[in-house]
Amino acid sequence: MDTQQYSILVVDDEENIRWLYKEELEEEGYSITAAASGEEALQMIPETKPDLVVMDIKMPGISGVDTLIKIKEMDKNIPVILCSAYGDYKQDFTTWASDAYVVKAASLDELKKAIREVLEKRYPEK
Amino acid sequence: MKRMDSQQKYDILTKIVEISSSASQINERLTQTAHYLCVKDLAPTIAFYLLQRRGRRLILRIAADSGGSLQLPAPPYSYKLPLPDDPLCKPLTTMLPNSLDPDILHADDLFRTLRPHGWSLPLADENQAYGTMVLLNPTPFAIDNDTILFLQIICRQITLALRSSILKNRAQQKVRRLKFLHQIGAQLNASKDVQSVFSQLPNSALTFFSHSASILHVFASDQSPAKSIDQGFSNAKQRELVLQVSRSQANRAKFSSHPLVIDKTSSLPLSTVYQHFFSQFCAHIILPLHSQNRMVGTLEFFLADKPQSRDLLPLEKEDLELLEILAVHMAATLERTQAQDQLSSANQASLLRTRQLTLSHQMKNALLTADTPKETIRLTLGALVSNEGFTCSPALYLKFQEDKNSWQALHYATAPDQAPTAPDNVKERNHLKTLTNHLLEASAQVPQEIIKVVAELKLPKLDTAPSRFQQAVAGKKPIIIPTDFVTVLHPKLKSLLPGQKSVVIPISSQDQLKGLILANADHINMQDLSYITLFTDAAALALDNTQLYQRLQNSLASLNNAQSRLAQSEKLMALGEMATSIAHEIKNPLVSIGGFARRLHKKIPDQSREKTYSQIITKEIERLEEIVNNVLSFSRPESKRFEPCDLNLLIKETIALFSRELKNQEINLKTQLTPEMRVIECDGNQLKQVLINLINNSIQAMSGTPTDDRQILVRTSCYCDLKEQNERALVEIEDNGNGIQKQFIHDIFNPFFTTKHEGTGLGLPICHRIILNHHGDIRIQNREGKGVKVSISLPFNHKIQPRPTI
Repeated sequence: MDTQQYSILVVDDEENIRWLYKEELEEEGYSITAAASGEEALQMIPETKPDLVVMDIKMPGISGVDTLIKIKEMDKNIPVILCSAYGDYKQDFTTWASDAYVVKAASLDELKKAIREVLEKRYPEK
Repeated sequence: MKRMDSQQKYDILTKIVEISSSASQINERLTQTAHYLCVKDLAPTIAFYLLQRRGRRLILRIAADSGGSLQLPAPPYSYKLPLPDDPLCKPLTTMLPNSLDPDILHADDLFRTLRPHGWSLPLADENQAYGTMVLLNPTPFAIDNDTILFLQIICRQITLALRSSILKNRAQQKVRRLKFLHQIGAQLNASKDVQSVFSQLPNSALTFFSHSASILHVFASDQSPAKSIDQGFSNAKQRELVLQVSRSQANRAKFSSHPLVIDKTSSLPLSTVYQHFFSQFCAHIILPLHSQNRMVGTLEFFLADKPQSRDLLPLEKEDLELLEILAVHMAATLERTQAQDQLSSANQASLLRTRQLTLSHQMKNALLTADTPKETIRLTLGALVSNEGFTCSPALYLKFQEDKNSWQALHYATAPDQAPTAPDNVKERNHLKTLTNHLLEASAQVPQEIIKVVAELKLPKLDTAPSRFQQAVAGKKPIIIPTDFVTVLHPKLKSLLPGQKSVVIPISSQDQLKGLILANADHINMQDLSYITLFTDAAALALDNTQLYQRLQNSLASLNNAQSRLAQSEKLMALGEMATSIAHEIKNPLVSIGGFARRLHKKIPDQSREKTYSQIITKEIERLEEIVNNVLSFSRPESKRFEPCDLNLLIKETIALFSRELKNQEINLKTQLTPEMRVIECDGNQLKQVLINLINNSIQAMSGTPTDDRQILVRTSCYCDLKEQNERALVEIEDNGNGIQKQFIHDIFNPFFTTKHEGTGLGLPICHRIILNHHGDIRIQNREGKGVKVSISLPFNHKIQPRPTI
């Protein structure tokens, strides 16, 4: 898969995490934009039209889940991966609309795997 | 008879005068006279016949004989001559000497064979006849006029002596009567009680008339005989006879104000009972006892028909007058003592009542101090058995056990030895305490072996109990019955209830039988029973109160317990929430540290010390992450709360999400939303997700349906669920899509089951889970014809606790 074709929007209120994701994912080849909140993300999406959104759930302002619903209302086709410290969301109906759910961890292997899977599923033609 | 000259006559007369006026007894004087006249050869045999007191017969009193051929028996004689037929008595009517012939002598006369001839001379003065002097001879003899005159002079002399003797006797008798009357009067006045005076009557009254038995009837205010006392009957049969006679005459006496004397000569018509009576008695004297025109009773005497009293007629007028005075005295005393009795018994009754009321008041107060049912029962039994209480010792309490339908003995008490000291007004409270302790002692004194017997004592149902026992239990009122009726229930009761009578006291509250007290009733009466009832009613109430109090305490304790447990779990929950939020706060920096540590680790050349350092950092962070993950793996950031929500609006909002898609797919979505829909308690976001899922499914199912006939209907309604007994909202989503293949219909709620190429198989399971979370119900079925119908029912009101954070 050619990762360089894809742009990913990272949404997290923690600057360090945004930076970590950006460095790690850029190393993978993706082009990364970042937003510090749900509101900022919702503003950026129409402009940047990312191929994928990676988003934290617990954020000040609108939560990740609510942002997810709004993103889907905006464009059902943008895949969203939810990412949170909480393990209980894994099989939860509140995150049903997301395309994947990943528990936050220092190792980004899980996240990278999920991104790859979601992208391949969403854009099989690329 | 030889002739006497004047000197001789003078000597005889002088001697007779001397004898007659001597101080000796009249019988002695008559005897001397008779003997002297015999010695002087006036006749071989001389006899004196005297009239009986009542003048109905002549009785041979004195006889003297000079010849020795006639063996005279010693007096007293039983020879009686009926009046007035006998020739011997003729002088008493004619007042003249009368010559006697053998053939006219009385048939059983002593002198009939040996002295058939003689003269009878009257002993009488102008007022009264006393008897006759009879001169008797074996052969007929004549007396000349001179001698008759002389004899008449002698007779007059003897008459004088008789008269003075009788007068003296009478005077003495009168004195004795007065003394008797005085004595009786004093006794009556001094006495508090007629019975004791009555019992002394024989000692005093007997000296006048020889009554052998007597009865005193005391009448009640309505003049019916209320009490009878008798004395002097030799046997029960005699007594019965006399009582019968007495009863038969009672009415007659009531209407008479004077003594009534009934004897064989009475002109009254005599019943057969009376005729039988007169074979043993000679007279029946009834004294009506009047006081203030009221009959208060009768005093009756029965005079025995004794041989030695035959010469005396039973009563004289003076005797009756005396008895009348006695009757007045008796009546007054009776009235007085009755009044006194009434007064004192009323006084005693009021004293008793005061004591019992005070006591039951104190006992009730004591009962109020109890705060457990056990103590209440102990106090109740204590009050019942105590000598200051109701003196029903011993007493046993049985509790009715509804589950076993039997009676279990719980407490037993006997009277304590010592009484508490009298209450001092200042120390009323202390006395109550003393009294309470004293009452509690009653149970404490029971010996160990009896306690054991009581503990093991269990009575079966009372169905087999004697009816009077059951009556008490059913009537819920104390009743006194013979102890045998109680002990019949269990052999061990015999040792616990030793008395003759027992009182059965049902203890009930709110019309429910709670227990039963069995106690000795030898020392109580019906009036005590009413006080016991008063007291035990209070005891039942107190028992009820303490039971309620205990139940209240128990529920208070369990409430406290629950509250502390709740507080504990709330604390734990708060602790868990805190731990979660701390873990979450740690997790984010940890991710940054770990992430960058890994990046460092990647950049550091292999085999360097720094590589090892970064390796350690990475590993340690992994360890920390695992710890934090363990905390966070079962938690979520916020607990969803159920909020009032408009279901119709929620549906409209959800459908709006699909507007573009519906248009693209050419699906006609209709809604029938009921205006009666009420606000529902729910998690709006969750329900929205359910609706999104279901509508999404319906849209996807339309692929095979012609574009001009793609229809979805969303309908809401309200209904009442009879089974769950609540009101519910119903949401129905119908489509005319492909439907569900028959073989899959049982799998649709299984997780990860899917027929779609892109599906996760979690859509319907998640819907199911959300609806269950709302205590609702979801059903999916193929419609007849084509498509699927999904029905969701949700209760309007339910108490759903949000899921705990941990």
